[in-house]
Amino acid sequence: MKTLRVALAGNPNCGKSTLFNCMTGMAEAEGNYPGVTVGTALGRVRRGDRTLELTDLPGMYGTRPSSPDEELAVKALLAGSFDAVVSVLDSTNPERGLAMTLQLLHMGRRVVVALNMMDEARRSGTAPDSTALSRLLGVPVIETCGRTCAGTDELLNAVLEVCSRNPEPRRISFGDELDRHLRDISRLIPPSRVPAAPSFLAASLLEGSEAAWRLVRHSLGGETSARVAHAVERASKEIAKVFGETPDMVVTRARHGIAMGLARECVPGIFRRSTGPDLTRRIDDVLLSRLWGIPVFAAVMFATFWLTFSASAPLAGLVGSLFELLGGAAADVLPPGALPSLVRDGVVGGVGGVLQFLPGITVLLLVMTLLEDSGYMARAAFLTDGLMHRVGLHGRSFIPLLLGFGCTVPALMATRALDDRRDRLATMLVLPLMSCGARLPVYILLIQAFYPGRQGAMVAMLYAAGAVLALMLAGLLRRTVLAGRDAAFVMELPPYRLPTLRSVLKHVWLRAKHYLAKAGTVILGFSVLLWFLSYYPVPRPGLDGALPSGAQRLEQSYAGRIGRLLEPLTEPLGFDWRMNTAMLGAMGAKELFISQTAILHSLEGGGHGNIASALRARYAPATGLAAMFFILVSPPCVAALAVLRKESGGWRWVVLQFTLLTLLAWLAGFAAVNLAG
Amino acid sequence: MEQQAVLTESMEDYLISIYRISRSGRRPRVIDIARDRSVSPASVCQALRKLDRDGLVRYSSGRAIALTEEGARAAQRLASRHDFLLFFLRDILGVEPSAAESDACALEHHVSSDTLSHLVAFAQFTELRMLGGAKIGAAFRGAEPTGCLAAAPPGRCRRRRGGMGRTLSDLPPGGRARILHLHSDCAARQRLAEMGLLPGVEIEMVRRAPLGGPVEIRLENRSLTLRRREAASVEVEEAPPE
Repeated sequence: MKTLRVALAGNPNCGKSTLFNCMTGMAEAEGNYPGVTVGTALGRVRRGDRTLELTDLPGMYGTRPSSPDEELAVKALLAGSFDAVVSVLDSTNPERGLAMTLQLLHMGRRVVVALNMMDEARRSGTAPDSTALSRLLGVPVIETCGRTCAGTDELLNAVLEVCSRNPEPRRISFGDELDRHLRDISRLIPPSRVPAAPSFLAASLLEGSEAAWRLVRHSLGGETSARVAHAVERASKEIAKVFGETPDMVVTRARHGIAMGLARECVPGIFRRSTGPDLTRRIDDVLLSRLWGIPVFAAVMFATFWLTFSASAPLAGLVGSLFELLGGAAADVLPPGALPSLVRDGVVGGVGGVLQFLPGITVLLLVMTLLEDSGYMARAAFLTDGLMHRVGLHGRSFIPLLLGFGCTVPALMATRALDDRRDRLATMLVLPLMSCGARLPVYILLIQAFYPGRQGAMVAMLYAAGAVLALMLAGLLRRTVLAGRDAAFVMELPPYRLPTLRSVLKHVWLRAKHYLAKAGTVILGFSVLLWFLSYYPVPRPGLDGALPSGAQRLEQSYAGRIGRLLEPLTEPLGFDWRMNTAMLGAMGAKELFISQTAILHSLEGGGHGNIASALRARYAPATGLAAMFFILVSPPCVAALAVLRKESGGWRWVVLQFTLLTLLAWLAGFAAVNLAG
Repeated sequence: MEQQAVLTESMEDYLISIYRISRSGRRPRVIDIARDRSVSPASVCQALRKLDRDGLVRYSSGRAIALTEEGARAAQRLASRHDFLLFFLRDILGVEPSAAESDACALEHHVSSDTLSHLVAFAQFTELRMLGGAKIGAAFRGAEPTGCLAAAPPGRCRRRRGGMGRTLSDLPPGGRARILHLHSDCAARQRLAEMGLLPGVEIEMVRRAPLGGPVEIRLENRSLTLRRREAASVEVEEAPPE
């Protein structure tokens, strides 16, 4: 039997995703990358002999898209790609959602209405009457509660029930004047040739909907669509003359009026709704006040930072040492040769690298989900948007950028809070410039070697330079590669709500799992590749039979050869092949720069002091400064590249970031050499 | 025409402003002109003195402000230029109304009378000639219908920044107002409308974010945030406190 495709549609913050989680349970649900596939998540449910494929559409206020992912959702709705649509309403505030329900009905979709968050509405005494609403709309209306998952069964049954019926577009009356124009336009659209009701398309065309226009042109061809266009044109003029307003406003207002009317009839307590300051308002009067807004935000950020990077550090360290032991044990057991080296440095090192991030990522995902579900994330964006908007970013970019000072990998995952694809990509691309924790030991080593005694100032300077560069580059990207209209900052500040355990756990569990499955394999692949580059080709023993030293081996490896090959390019920076090879090794993880340098300078097991003096002996201070800037700006470690690949949905963004940052790193190094020299 | 050569853009705008106020049957006062042009009364006085020197306006303390005959002619010419350019951009070319309005305001100061007369001739031509059954102008605009084609409310030239009387961004925290009109471009306007910011709706300004950030407003029983620039495009009138 055919799989039924069902979409969940509703306003942002109507509890749609919580309901989605209820319906799909802990079952496999694929988190989608916004702007690439329809909806933000996909889940399957078996119901008797039928399989339902549920799509969680992005939160929308109507059928006018305002971002690429909404555009895909609207296109799918218009094209009739779903067998049924569940229109999720916030029971405490159903009017706005009803406007969208009306559009879905007008379009001719099979609709089931879910009155979500009924518990809250009942508590405030303004619960809508579902029977009355069902009678007025002519579709099943189910009372649900995402928090307790009440009503889920009934909802699924209702969906199956409507799917057995033929869809029937609803006639919606917008008043005589508008109706007449809608009739005039829809007469020109043969219903059999379009996947949505002609009357709905007529209204959308009057509203100037590009999606509707594309659909009409595509399905009716040039001549008919020109006639439609002409009719729309004429109607627009007349409407403007009669109403003294643009037709889009007239149609939206009429629909809003109907939704208001419906709400008045079905919500017995609507006039008793309190307009005075509620709990959320009172909390916000403190959390968003001039005096406390920024300090509270700073405290929340500090707590997030601490939890993600410090609280999880012991566990991460434990994982690290465990794998070190494991690698050592493997090397002891296995016969000498390439295999144990691969196992120890490539595989065990790689898997260890993947797992080492896991505690931090899990904690971060937990904190982020809590912030998002409680409603504070929207407030954080509200507080920081003034600053971020100046560089062309969104308020929601602030938190990921800040987390970048800890580690780029979880920071990349935190960019999920950004709804606009372009804002999100710009943030992800510049994130490595926020100097991560692994770079600090490298800075300290280099400062110790070349600028002893000026640690504090130098480190602060590097961090500041990175942050300024990141903001500048983000601004540049948003004006060039990622140019486009600013995401409108019109958003709702949702009431504060207690996050549900189920939703939080499911979210964290799925994301962490995907990190392991998707990013993990790429990280592993990269580590094996880096191991290969620095291990092969194996040099032959010398004539006297002596085994080559570590430095000699590395010099003759592919990594060493690449380092030599790059010498002409890095010469202006004062880098020789050793420095190049160490930089290449730092791709594995930034702190590897130190151990690579130790090997390259034949310092077996030398402490920091030794490495520093070896560096001082070989390079000029200007080169040291160039190296610091190169480490600061150069592309991030392979783990971050792998996560970028997963989060951005394409290698091309990885290639772009890699190229851009390599070029920029060279320029920064060059500038540093000249400034210091 | 020589008179126009010496007038700066802003002087021309003052002239039109005085012209429109007196046409509406009121007596132009410094404060009215200042409000109409969104400038300070001090700059209005300065401009009036200059216009008085040029013989376009009669302005001396104690007497009503009035246009001289020459001033009235210049103002009328400017006003009809504006109206034609607005009509041409919006109704012939189908430019989005708010853009047409601001472009007409910019063009009217610079377009030469020769170009203008050609534009007038072209406008007449498009209304007369037919193309495949439709007038050329209509056939051209019919290429892609947009919901924003029709008229915005009759506009006047204002300073670029703000200027449409009170806007949402002028509202102090705690202030209540009723929405009169959305002046933003098509996409932004529809987004605001979909979220419930419709003319006639009552709203309350709750707070402003620090560092020139967004504002929080309350309508019905929901909190919305919008950036200051978006807020500045929402024209409001003060509503009585509850």
